[in-house]
Amino acid sequence: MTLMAVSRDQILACLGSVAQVFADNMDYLTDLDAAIGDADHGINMQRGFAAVKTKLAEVQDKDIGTIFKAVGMALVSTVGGAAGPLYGTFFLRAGQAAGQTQELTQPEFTTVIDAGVRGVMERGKAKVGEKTMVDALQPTLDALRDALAQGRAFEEALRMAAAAAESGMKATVPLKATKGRASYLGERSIGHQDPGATSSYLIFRTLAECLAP
Amino acid sequence: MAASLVLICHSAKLADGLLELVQQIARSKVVVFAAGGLDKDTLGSNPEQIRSILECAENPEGTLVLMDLGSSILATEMALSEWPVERRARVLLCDAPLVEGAVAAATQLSAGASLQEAAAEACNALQPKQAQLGAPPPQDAPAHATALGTDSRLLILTHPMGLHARPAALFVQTAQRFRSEISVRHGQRQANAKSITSILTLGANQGAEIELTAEGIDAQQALAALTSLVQSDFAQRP
Repeated sequence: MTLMAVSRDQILACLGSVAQVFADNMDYLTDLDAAIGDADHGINMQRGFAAVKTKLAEVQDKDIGTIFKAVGMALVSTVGGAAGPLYGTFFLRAGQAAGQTQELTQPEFTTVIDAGVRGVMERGKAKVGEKTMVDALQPTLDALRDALAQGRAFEEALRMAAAAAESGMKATVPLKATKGRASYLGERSIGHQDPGATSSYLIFRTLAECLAP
Repeated sequence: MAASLVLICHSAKLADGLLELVQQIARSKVVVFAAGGLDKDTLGSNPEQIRSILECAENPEGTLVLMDLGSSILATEMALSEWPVERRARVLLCDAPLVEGAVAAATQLSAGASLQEAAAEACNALQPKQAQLGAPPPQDAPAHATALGTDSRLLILTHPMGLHARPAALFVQTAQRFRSEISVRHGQRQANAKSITSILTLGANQGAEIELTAEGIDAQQALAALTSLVQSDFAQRP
């Protein structure tokens, strides 16, 4: 059956899966962050999304906007590093854009992700090309918008988004960091994949796997 | 009432230590808060903790905020993001170095400087270290030579700390009570007696000879007070 809209319950299931993915990839993200950061991105995302999972139990009967805002607040108060305010803002703005709805159609979903990505860029003041999560998030958003404009099915849009996130993540490898802890390494950050772009990719890959298997 | 000072660190231990250092200068004259870590055992920043502290620190003269690393800035901006514009406008996020800036800011605020004046001093707070390690001295000291209507004193610094740390802070606080322009010369370097960062660039240690020069309506009183302070080994409270 074609996906016409993502339901509240599907969102909850996706977020639970994301929590598991961050638990499974804690060491991987830690290793990436050890190379060009302070080696805490893995544990931060694991801890943050573990807190999200706990929080979800309290909001499982609420609307999508409320759920996303709860996710944002949980991340802000438990992640500790830059990812806290950044992903926190992503989900808070996404929640504001989603509003009191029980489902998101493809255009609504695209608008929600747009709000989230713009929130991240306002909070962190990063643009594409600075070796940050924005290098994965902006292509993801572009793919969703393109898919919508081209009249592609929702599932296909989600797969295109995940693919765009992956190539955006990989594109961070040759970049020199000008933001965050990695910027202290300067030239030495070149040749390493950005951990923030990687965690963004993991989120969108998980969404595609859950909603468009 | 002085503007308040808020220090944001990635580490709770660093916050505690810095608070201790700064309160030694601020005493009861400036309210200082420090926030550190995601919690007391975990490195990072906690926007909710920071927001609570900013709420406690709020006052009509404003709040000066100094932060250590990038995500402290993100967390602080996030903590303030829901405040209305007028309330947010009284909080100044300063790009000064954390430790040196906090010391400079606390000194200035405790001597009656405004929020903006204290922030400006904090932003220049690396100058003393740079001077001590061999960079050229700053140009902000009064350039004129001793002229008619001014007076000067030659003093030897007998305090073990010379003109650094707490003695320097007391010196600056005392100088700021007077309206005269007061300068201090040590060797080839000249400093503004009312600026902690300027004084610290002198690198005047125990045993150093300094020349105090004051020009203005209360020059004699200023010199007398500062001479007395130095000669008592900074035993007096200003």
